[in-house]
Amino acid sequence: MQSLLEPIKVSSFGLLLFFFSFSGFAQSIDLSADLLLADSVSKQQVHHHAKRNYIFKNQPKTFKNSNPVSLIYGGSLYVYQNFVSQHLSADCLYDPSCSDFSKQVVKEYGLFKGGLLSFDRLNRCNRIAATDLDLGTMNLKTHRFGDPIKRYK
Amino acid sequence: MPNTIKFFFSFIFLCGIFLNSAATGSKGDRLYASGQYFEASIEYERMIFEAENQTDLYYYKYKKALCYKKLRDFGRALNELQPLYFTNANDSLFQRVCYEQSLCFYLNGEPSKALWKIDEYFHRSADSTTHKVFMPVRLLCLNETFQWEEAKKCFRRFVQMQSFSAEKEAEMQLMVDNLYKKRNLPRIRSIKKAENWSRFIPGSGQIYAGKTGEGIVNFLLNASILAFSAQQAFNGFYITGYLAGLGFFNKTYQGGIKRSGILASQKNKEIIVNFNSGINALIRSDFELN
Repeated sequence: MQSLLEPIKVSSFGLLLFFFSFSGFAQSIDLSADLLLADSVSKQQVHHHAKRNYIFKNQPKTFKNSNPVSLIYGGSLYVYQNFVSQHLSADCLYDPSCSDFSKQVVKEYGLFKGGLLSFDRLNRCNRIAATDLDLGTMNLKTHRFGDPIKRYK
Repeated sequence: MPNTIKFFFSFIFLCGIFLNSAATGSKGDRLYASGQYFEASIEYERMIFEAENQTDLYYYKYKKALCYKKLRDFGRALNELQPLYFTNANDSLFQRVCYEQSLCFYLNGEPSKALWKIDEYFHRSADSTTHKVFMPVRLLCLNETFQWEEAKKCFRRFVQMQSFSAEKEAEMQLMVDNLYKKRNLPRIRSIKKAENWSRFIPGSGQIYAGKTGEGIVNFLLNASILAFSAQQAFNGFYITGYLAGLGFFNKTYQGGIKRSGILASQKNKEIIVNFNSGINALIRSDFELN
């Protein structure tokens, strides 16, 4: 009887091994990993108000960034970006916004050309100008029109 | 054990692995398994192009969506999964696709759509044993949309689906009841109320939303602009008072209303993320997830 059962035992064990070798590759939903992902992603979605920096922050002191006009311009831009803009109902049409654009052009081209370009941009940020913007440049997430400073080299 | 039998077992084991990798071990799968998700997504795209039947096509699209999920591009993952339509609700891929869709909707910040997808699956699939895997995502989505009663029912059902002992189950049910008692629920700010407060007293909506400093600045800004406008009118400069004063006041007043709504919504998000994070940790530590 014992000798009769032995081949059956061996073949059953063999079959089990065969299926076991498949089971390691079976695809299933990894709920634990998904929950970890959900936790980290939702924590990233919480809005953290980031202060916007002073235009000449961490720059060596030169005449270009420490003359009275630059100081008044930089100071008022800092106050506007951090304390005033959030209280206004107007939304900028462009990306980067007018104040960020002004900050970037003044850094790149200096106060004179930067000031003129900022003035030009402010004149274009209105409902009439919006009717003539290229829809192809629109960012679908922010619904703003791309107008980077590299266009004004 | 004789050597022949040992050899026989080794042969069977290796044979299984070989057959398995020959069947499913495509280049895409290997790239996916090695964590090269972007390269895997490109490989799956090629496989989608070359797919000969709908089953293969759906499977590769599903795998491509998993690559995008790993890359945290949930919008693109949804774009891959959205066109898949299953006539047979008992198809195991249907469950996985619905699950990934609902999870990606949740991760993409669209909990209402995730709930809609889960409800669709529950409605179409008669086998309630497959519902268990959806419960945590459904619970998180219900919390995110402040449907506390539904969330409580969902959590209780999830507890019932676990193979807890009777004592442990009773303890967990009690914990769920306590968690969803009114006094333990997070205090949600009403966006409408915040906006109306700001409409009535500028700055008060921001204070209601938890930003006292910003509320005071908004109030002072509005008050000073209004005072300037009144002073100009009092001195006979009516046009300056109207244009420079009231024109600017309109911007700050309307802006304050809009801002208070945004702040209330941000505060709600922060509160609910903390609440869900606790529940998420609890599920991961105390529940069977596989």
